[in-house]
Amino acid sequence: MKNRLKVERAILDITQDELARRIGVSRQTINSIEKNRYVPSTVLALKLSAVFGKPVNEFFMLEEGD
Amino acid sequence: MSTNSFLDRERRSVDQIKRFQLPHSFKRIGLIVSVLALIVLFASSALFESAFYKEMIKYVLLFGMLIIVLAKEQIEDERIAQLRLQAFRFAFVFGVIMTLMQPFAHLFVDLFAPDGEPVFAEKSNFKVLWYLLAMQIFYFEYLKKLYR
Repeated sequence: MKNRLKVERAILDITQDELARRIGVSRQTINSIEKNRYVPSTVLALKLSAVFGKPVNEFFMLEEGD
Repeated sequence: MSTNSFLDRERRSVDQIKRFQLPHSFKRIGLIVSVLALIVLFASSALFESAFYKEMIKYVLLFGMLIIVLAKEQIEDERIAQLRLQAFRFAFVFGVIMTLMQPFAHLFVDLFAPDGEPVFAEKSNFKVLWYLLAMQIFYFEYLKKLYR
C-alpha cells in the first residue's frame, strides 16, 4: 500500500512531530507510515483523515498485489 | 446471569489483563535493578560463600528484567504495540527452541567426549526465564531501531 502522507503534511505545512501530536502517536510512527514500513490501523487512518479533511482513500492507495 | 452478560464480563477482564502495563518510569527502575543484580551476581563468588544469596540475586535479576518488559514506552502507540507483540513471539519461539535443543546438545557432546553415563540434562528455570526475558528485551529494542 502506498500513501501520500508526506504530500498531505506539506499541504498543511506541519512537521511529523506536529502531526504525531495531533493524532496521539510518536513521530517515529508517522515516519514509518510515510516510508511504507508500517500500515496503520483503521482508527489511525480515520484520525489522519480528520486532520487532512479528506477521505482515507485519497491518501492511502492499494497497490498491485495488495 | 445470561450467557451474553457473562461473556461480556469475561471479555472485559481479559481485556484488562491484555492491556496491563507498568508506567514508563518503571523501565528505568527495572534497568537499575537488573544492572545492580548483574554486578552483584558477577561479584557473588567474592561477596558470598553461600549459594543461597547467589540464587536469590538471580531471581532479583529476573524481576528487574520483567519490570523492563512490562514497562510502557514514552509514547505507547499501536506501532509500538505491534513491535512488542513481535518481540514476544520471537522470544517465545526462540526460548522454546533453545530449551528443547539444549538436552540434545548436551547428549551430542557426551557422545564425542564421554564423561561417564550420558545425561539428558534439563535447563534450570532461571536459564529458561533468562532466555525468554533477554530475547524479548533485545529483540524489541532491535525492532524499534529497525522500523523507526
